[in-house]
Amino acid sequence: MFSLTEASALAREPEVAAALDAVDRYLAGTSGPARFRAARNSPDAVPDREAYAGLAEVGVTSAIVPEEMGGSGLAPGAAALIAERLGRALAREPFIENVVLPVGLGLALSSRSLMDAITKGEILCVAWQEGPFARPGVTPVATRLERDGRGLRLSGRKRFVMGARASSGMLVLAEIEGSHAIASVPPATAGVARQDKSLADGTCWSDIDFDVWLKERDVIARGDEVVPALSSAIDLANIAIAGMLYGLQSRILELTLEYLGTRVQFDQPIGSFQALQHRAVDLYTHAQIARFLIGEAVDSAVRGAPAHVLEAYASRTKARASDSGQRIAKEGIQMHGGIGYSDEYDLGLYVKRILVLSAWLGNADWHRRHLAAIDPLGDGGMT
Amino acid sequence: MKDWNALSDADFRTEIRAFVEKDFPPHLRNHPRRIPRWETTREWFLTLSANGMLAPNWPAAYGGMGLSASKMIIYFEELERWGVPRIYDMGLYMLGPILIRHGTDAQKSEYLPRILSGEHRWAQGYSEPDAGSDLASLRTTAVPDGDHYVINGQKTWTTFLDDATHMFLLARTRKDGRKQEGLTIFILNLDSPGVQRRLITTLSGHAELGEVFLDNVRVPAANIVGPLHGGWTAAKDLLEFERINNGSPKLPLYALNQLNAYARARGLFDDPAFRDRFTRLRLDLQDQYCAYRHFCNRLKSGRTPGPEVSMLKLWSTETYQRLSELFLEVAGEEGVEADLLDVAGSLSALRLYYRSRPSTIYSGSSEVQRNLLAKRVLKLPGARP
Ligand SMILES: Cc1cc2nc3c(=O)[nH]c(=O)nc-3n(C[C@H](O)[C@H](O)[C@H](O)COP(=O)(O)OP(=O)(O)OC[C@H]3O[C@@H](n4cnc5c(N)ncnc54)[C@H](O)[C@@H]3O)c2cc1C
Repeated sequence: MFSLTEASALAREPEVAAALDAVDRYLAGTSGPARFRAARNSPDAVPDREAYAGLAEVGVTSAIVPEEMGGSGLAPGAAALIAERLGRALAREPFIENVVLPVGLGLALSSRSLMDAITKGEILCVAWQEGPFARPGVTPVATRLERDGRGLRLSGRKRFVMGARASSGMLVLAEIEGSHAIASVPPATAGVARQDKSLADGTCWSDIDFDVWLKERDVIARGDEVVPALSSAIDLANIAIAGMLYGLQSRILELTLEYLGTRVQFDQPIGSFQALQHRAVDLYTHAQIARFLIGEAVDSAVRGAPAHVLEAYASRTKARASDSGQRIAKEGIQMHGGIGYSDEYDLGLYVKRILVLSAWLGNADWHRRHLAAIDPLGDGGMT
Repeated sequence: MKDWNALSDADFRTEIRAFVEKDFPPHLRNHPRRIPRWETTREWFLTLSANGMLAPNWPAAYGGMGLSASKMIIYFEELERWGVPRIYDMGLYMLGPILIRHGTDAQKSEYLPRILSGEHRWAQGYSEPDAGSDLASLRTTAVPDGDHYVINGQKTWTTFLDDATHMFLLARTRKDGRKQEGLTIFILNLDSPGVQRRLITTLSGHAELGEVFLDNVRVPAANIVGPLHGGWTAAKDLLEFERINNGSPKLPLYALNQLNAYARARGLFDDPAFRDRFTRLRLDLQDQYCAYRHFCNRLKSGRTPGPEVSMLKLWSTETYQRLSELFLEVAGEEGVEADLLDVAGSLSALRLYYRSRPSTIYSGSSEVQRNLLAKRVLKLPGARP
């Protein structure tokens, strides 16, 4: 009733179905919520690295890497289907931050070297944001790459960098001589100062100060293609986040429906009260609207899809899945009563994850405003 | 005893404001916990007490301020304005009124002064694992044994349990008849043999609730409050007081103050869309004051607030939550960072989000309030519970 699989044609393609089965098998061997709980606010990167290694083992890190670059060559939209599974299982695997974003960037740049790094097991993160979310290219980039006698100097401050802590390489957006570049920076370089900030769900992102000397070959992309490439990577990440949000909220909805069926008050299951039945139906309806939208977005996210189509789907799915997710989260707590407010019960773990993922890479309000700007009449800007 | 009501509202406000600004410990402003521990707020509690300003709702004869409705609002407003945290107030707002109404003279003189002195700190033992909304189905039993009762059972979701010394609890004293008719309120010293506590951590990460296990706990019969088997009516009365307390504008006012400060600091009022949403919520809060005054006046004139008071609690708590949701939304990435959660004086959308969640669950969930209104006020056919 709840899976994205029936909502997406892509999910039924044999290679994709096989990949999703592999993800499911892998997740069945991990202990989802218990593991997530145990790793909350962990001060080091070990759990993230182990989780990443788990993803790599079942081929998830190279699932959407093109075959000619050593991957499985699944359509990029498959990322959202994988993310749904991870969300439902409350997996802490750093999939979106360390796989979808860097691979998405590699896809958009057709960068063999980036893909090679990923298929060889490098853990990459993308550091581009300098303040509250805004698409790349909207606000000027303050981080600079400057050449002088000693070489290339990268200086600036990035914020909200998800997946930095476990990474072995950071892809940093910088301004260079009136254009843009992506520099690859090893995290242990002198002059990189990372400050981790713990988040509501017990994961973290980082604020990072850079003042480092780089070599020419560390600049992996440069020129006018950089900003659009990064934007399309972020669009793909947002569609994947929507998939993950959907997985999380469908699990909350399941837990809540189970509870409505088993919790007895006034000598009957609370699910027999019409007031709660109607609200459960509303939640179901919101989830279904999100589900079919995301399914359509997944099927549209094929290689070579026009950028503006993905841009609109990214904002629509992110806005919708955040909204329905937060609604289901809030109602899930409410319909559980006291136990929904306790930390011992797993529901709260899902709720908090929804809060974090909704806020990362632009919240619902931001994405609606963005849609109003790029497509005010909702006709794809056709008229 | 000072006659606060003799002051004009404006003078009263000036006086409370000056007092709070001068005497409230500054390091406790905008405290990160929904309910700071007793040690943390004790000094402030005792300062209020020493100045006769601890119990705004109690009659002056018992050491309260005996405030009129409008002054009660001013009192809460001024405390909220200054970011004063919640104190150990269960005795003040819950047990106090019920003792004043139903207690024996001995109980009044034993317990009321010790509430004001902070010597006794109270917890409310109503809910049980299988009796939440359906409170009347509770299973904790009290069986007479000489001039004592022996209590067995379990209570849960108990606020203030961390530092409480006493609990007033509802137990079943008779098993036949309507289940509402066999309940009695007891006063329990939590140090009694057979009492065990376990704290419960909430979404906010604080162990602010608890469970109490009662294993053959002996309580003197003199600790019964109100009539034997008549606990339900007394407790329900109290719930109406509780709802008027929960229906006070305190919570949404706190949220509005936080959001306002954040919005100013971030220049959000320059955005017309934000201004519009903020103003709607501000009016939802301010318009509620009028209804709140009405119910307080009813109470002052000696009547109970009546079942209609449920509307206040609904409105207040749901406005509170909407404010917290708007805050979280406008705070964007910053809103989900947890590093400020426990930093005193900081503005944290996340903290407010957590803190506002349970207000629609405790003291009669929103669903229960709606059922009550449908049945007892609108008198709709077949309405529950
Ligand atoms: C922060 C907090 C502090 C608390 N402090 C105390 C305290 O100090 N002392 C104390 O005794 N208790 C306390 N409680 C407990 C509180 O009173 C109960 O949580 C509340 O009564 C709900 O009961 P429950 O949690 O068992 O939920 P349930 O009653 O199981 O309710 C689950 C859901 O079903 C809904 N529901 C139930 N019946 C109906 C119906 N007939 N129609 C429609 N919907 C219905 C409820 O509204 C809720 O959404 C506290 C709770 C919280 C969260």
